[in-house]
Amino acid sequence: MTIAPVKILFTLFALFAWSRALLKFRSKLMNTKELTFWSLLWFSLIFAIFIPGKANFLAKLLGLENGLDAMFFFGIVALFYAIYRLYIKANETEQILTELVRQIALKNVKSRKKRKK
Amino acid sequence: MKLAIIIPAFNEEKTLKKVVKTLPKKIPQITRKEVIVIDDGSWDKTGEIASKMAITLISHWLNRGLGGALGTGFAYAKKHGFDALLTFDADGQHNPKDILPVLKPILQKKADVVIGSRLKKTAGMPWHRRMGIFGLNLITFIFFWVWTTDSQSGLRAFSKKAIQKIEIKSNRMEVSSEFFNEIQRHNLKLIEVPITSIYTQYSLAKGQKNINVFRILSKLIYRRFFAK
Repeated sequence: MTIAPVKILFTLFALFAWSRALLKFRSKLMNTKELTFWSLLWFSLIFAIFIPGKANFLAKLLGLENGLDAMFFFGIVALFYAIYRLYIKANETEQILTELVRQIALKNVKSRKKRKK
Repeated sequence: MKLAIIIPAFNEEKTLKKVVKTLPKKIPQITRKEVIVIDDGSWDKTGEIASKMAITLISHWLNRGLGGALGTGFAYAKKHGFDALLTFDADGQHNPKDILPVLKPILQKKADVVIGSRLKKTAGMPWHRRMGIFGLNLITFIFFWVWTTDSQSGLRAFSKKAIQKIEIKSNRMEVSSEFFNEIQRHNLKLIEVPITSIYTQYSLAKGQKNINVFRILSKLIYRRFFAK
């Protein structure tokens, strides 16, 4: 049985990405819940990539020619959603930062009155 | 009547002193005038120069942008119960003689918000600046259903009602358009008054660049559809 090179490459990439998550967990930059989520995600993808014909069902549902197109479609949708969530989070963080800077500034107001001649 | 003149300043060591000095000393109907400079994380001598003047200085330890600075000015004015607020640029673009015409409708209680419009008197304005302002006016109208001839004007006056109601959430230059969202949201009465702009190489370099339109557009989309 020959395994397509793209499946091997993807598996290696998924293992690498999972190892990053594991390193973050070990450095206490990620909690157990987050590690569980990323582990489930990457290993499910590795598992799914080796199941024959699983994407053809999705392809038929979407009216596409083959399973690979369906995988790309979902991948791109997921990426756009991730970018959207990141953008929202970045904007929220900016607002919180501004509010913090503002409150500190308002606590340290310097007022100089004009001297009456 | 108590008036707050808010001057947001970021790296304006070259012009700040002159701008503050040329502000009118007395304004009719104003019993107390307070000039408030918001030093928005400047890394030149803006803060040092401002601290030596007879003004109120509020310093941001980190640059937050025009919106951030104006938001701080509004928060200060709200806290101290000012009856009127005027925003004035620190780059020397505004003519101090335009302050009274812009304030007048507020003092006469004919408006809640007065915008000093540069497009009502375009003498001396570069064509690309006129084009850019018009483009941003169009974007402001599409998002907030308020038409203005100068959505990006830095010379504006606000009544006590407007000071209390307006909430500034934008950080950067998109705040100029955000004011119109607040005008529409709170049903504030808006009047425009013609003003002249002083265009020097310095003020042109400091002002709104047409390329910022993409950034402003993305921020306005976020503000309009996704912000809480």
